[in-house]
Amino acid sequence: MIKENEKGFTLTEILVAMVISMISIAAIFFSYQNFSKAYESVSNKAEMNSNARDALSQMTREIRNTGRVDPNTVMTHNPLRDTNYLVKFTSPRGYGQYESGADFLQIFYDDSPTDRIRVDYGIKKYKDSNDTYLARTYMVFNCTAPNNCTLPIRNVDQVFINNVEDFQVVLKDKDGNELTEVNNLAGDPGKEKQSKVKTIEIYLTVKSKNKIYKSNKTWQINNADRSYTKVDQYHRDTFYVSVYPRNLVKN
Amino acid sequence: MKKLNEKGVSLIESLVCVVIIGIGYIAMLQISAFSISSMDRAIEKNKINFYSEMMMEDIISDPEEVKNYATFNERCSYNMSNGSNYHQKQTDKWKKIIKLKDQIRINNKYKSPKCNQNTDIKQILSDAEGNKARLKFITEKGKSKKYLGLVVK
Repeated sequence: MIKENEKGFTLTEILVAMVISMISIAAIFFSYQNFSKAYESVSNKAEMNSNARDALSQMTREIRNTGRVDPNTVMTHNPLRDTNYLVKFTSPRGYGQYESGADFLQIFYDDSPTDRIRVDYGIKKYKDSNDTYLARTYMVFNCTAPNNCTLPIRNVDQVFINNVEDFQVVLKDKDGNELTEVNNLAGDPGKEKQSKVKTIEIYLTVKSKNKIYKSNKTWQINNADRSYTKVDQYHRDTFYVSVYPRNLVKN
Repeated sequence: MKKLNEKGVSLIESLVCVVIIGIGYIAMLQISAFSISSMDRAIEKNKINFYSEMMMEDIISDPEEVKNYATFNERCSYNMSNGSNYHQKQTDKWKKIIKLKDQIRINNKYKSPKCNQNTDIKQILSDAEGNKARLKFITEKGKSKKYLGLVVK
């Protein structure tokens, strides 16, 4: 049974409650939106950072190995005169399939008396977009005797790091001066420069996976020998490592 | 059958409820904001790891000059030596890299890392014989500290 004086909400109460609820819902919505944007931006940066760090750590390990000659190697020739241990080009010179302006690095080292490893790094375009990635080629040459080699492992141009815009390699001698033309295009003098390399500096500019700014920004990137400008809503960062190629210097 | 004195929720009660939920939401938001800033700080710490490795690797490449690297003691100003010796070139390079000098320009402004002149320190120390080096990297107003030791010879 309902009593006469039993009441529900008045219209004013409902209106006040609705206004308060709408204000709280709007506050929650906008703060969530802000939080979500900030989270996306930071997670993009974190992903860039972690990818670049992992990749540079692996590159560092490989570059430290460059020039390693196994004491029992089956190769009988002079490794520094007859073999490349460290090659650097600025694309497209020598390796036209890589992106123009960025560098190309190739290193060799012995993994065992019979196995010689070759690793290449260069910037390539994705098949379906104009974006670029750092490509890594890994090859193992298995030799039973000089000039009698097979190629059991050949992984070509794998995606090593996504969205890499620039890859610059600077080779420096014992006086801290930059060494250029460290490659076989320059003939024997080019090859002999391999043993003069004391420091290998690498600059890697990575772009975020998604657009994270509301409006366009003008980015001017200066990495060692290369400068370029981009205007867009992506974030960029340059990562840097300096490596001492111990095995190369020892040769 | 309903009781005679049975009532709904009063406006005051519902407002108190909204306030309590609001406080809870703000607390959650604070936690989220803190987690985002922690991620940001982790990125910066990651960069410091890069810088530290770069400095240690460069010292390894020049074992005879460890004592000369121990002159490296910077806060935020980074004065270049512009010297011609290898160690001077290397330390100038560190300064440029840490300061991000001339490296990335966004909307015509150079990007530069946060630095506090009073608390931030980037320093290399060595023993008297020049056999060992120690790196001290203090950033984020003294909150983030990184020390690395290296036996060169």
